Amino acid sequence: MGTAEINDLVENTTELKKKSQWVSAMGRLKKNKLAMFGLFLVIFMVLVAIFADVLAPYPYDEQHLADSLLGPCLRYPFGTDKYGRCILSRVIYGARTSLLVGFAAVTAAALIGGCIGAVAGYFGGVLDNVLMRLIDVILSIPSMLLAISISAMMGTGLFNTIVAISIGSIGQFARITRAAVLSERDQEYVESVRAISAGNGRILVRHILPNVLAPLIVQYSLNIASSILAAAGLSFVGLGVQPPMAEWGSMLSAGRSLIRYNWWLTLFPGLAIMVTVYGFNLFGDGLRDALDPRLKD
Amino acid sequence: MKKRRLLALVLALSLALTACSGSSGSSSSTTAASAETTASEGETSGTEETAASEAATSSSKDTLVIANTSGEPGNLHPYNTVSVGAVMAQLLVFNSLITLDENGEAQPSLAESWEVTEDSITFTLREGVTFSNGDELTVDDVIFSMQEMMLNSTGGKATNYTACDAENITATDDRTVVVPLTEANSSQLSYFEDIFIVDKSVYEEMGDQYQYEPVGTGPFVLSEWVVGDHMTFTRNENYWDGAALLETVTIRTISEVSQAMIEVETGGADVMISPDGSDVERVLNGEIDGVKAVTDDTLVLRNNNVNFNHNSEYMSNKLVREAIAYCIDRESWTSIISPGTGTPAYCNIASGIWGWDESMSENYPYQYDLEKAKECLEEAGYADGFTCVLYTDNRTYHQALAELLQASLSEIGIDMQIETMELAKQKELMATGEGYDLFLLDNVGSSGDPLSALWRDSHPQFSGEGGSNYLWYTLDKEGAQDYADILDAIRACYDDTEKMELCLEMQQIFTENLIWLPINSIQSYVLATESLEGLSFRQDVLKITNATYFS
Repeated sequence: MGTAEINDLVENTTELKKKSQWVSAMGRLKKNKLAMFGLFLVIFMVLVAIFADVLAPYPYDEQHLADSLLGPCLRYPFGTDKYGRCILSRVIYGARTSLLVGFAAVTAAALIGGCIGAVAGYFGGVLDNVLMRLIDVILSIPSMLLAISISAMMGTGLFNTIVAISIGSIGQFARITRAAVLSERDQEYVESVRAISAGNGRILVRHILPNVLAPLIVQYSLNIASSILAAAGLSFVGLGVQPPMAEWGSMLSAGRSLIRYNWWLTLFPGLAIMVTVYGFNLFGDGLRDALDPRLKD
Repeated sequence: MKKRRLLALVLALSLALTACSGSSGSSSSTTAASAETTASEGETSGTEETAASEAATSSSKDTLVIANTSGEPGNLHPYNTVSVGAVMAQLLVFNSLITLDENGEAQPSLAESWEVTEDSITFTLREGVTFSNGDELTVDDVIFSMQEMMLNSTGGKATNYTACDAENITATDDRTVVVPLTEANSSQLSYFEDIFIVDKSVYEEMGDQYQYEPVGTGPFVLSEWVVGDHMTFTRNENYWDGAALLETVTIRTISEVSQAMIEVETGGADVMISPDGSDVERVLNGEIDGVKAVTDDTLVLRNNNVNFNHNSEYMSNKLVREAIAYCIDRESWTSIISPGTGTPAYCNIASGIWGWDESMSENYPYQYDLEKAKECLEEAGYADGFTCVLYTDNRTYHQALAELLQASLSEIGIDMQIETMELAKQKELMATGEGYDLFLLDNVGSSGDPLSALWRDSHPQFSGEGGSNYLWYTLDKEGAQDYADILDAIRACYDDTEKMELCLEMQQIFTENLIWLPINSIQSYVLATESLEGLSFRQDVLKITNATYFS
């Protein structure tokens, strides 16, 4: 057998193996009915958010003072709030705000936390100690409390809400990435690429990262759910996005004093939060089951 | 394998058993405890009342539970705190020299009588008053309390006493205190209602601890404070006006208004303060059994305002202020902002305050008219509109006003951004005069005195750097000198007819210069169980006295 043939074979097998890992995971995921239902909910909400302009019967901030506090009816399927704004339109636009906050905050946290964790895990030593103690400090503060303090300090608004929430979840990503990188960095394949004098950056990004992606993806999908909840919580206490922007948490907050008489003010945004969070959680759980190597076979 | 399963089963079973026994044990002990308490309650009522069997109704009730929805006060410092929750508690513990009745007339309290001249106010103290710790009330305590308020208080409270010569308050004998005045102030007497009289020796001895364990001459004594939950006050048996009919008053902190309402309906609380307007409306319509709405005609003391920062580039322009004034639809907004409790407001003082100009609503020059608003804005050179910032706290009626204003201003091209924050944070930021164009802040007064709502909160002298109001309507601004002069004139006027004319003129000046925009007045209500009698108010704060009882 010539060297070229061997190389070919090696390439083919790794290709095969790589493919099979993800393909089989996806196969497991597809078989999981609950996870598929979760994915359906997530896609549904994303579509609602994207096509809000088309779907919503009214602009979200259009006030009809004469139609204040109407119950669900033909003109307003979800009723109106005290300014006569259509609740259905606001729930639809609220999906945009909530999903934007959820995705943006978690993406930022995953990037920052992932980098910190990867560097700490890969290089180890003093750097690891310093970085992880910093992360411990962040983790020791309850994330909701941290988010409230940050937005109270920086002020309200969409961007500040995203920053406040993402800082709270950096810690989890850093920990997970570090643990995964730690277990990978002494593997033989890392040693072999190092032997051909590949740089640290290349080893981390090209070789280790693909192998630690699974837990990160799971964490990502689960964290979106909790970020949406956190955003709703912040808005509920008046620290999140500012009016007239539609946001589920602030809609709940505005309707809570009238909950006994005008139930539609709180029911529909509450349901929207529930469905979205449920969807992300189901999908995230399914992903974890599918990607967990211990569940293989 | 089988063995293991068996072991697991046994373990699980034993775990379940211990769990069961644990829970049943604890539950039985609680029932025993509750049985005990009911038994002991029965005994006491049996000994105290001879006909215990028939008297076990609400008439024998002597514990009052107040649901405080305005947030728990951080402390009860008599001179440094302003929150409604704190004042309500302080009114139980402390007395002042005088109290104001519902018409704003001074009535005797710790002072038996007084004499007002343009140079001084002379109080004659009541004899035989003791503090709850047994110390006798002396002129030293009174002078000390006055000086603490006038010289060492915070939150702009001292501005009400600028006419008093605090350093030279003297006692001419052991019952007479003379407060010399450096300038004439016709409403000075009424501000002595705000000075709680403290026990000087204890106050100095306890230092900071006094604000948590206050000692006063009031009808009740603070006996327990569980932070975040409740404060309990017990009857002061030696109260100078006769011991209270109630034995205990508990103030529970329930920040959620709808929850407090449910507590009142189910008997968990007897009275709630600052109820939601829609709840008041339902109670007034008789939709909720066993609950009544308590108020008084003169309890319209609070105005919900849109205030301008006169330092702002846009708001310093009168045409812009006019444009905003034309955007306000008071009639339809009021029912949304304060349903059931609000009335449209056009004057800078609420309708329950003496001096209010009734005719202003008809003669108001800036009725809702978006076309005129656009014209004004065009004339001001902002035909394409601009972006501005509004600061507000998160009270429901402020949020409602903010959103209505935002929608209305967007019609004429003004993009108003709402920034919601804590009231304390809001004041801190506004003290710099930068970063905001509009803000929402109420003004509240007492019924007899228009200056109580205006002096500290709008006098140009207290505007600006280090001042007590955030309008930045300083004396160099257009019309500010006129406004300041007429406030001074009202203060110096001792004749009621003349003073009334000055008040009407003052409101004209206010409207002409659009110093701020009153939106609606709010009538204060408390919601109480049907059997609770003898509730009174100080300004718009609920006041429980020794004459409050359950019928």
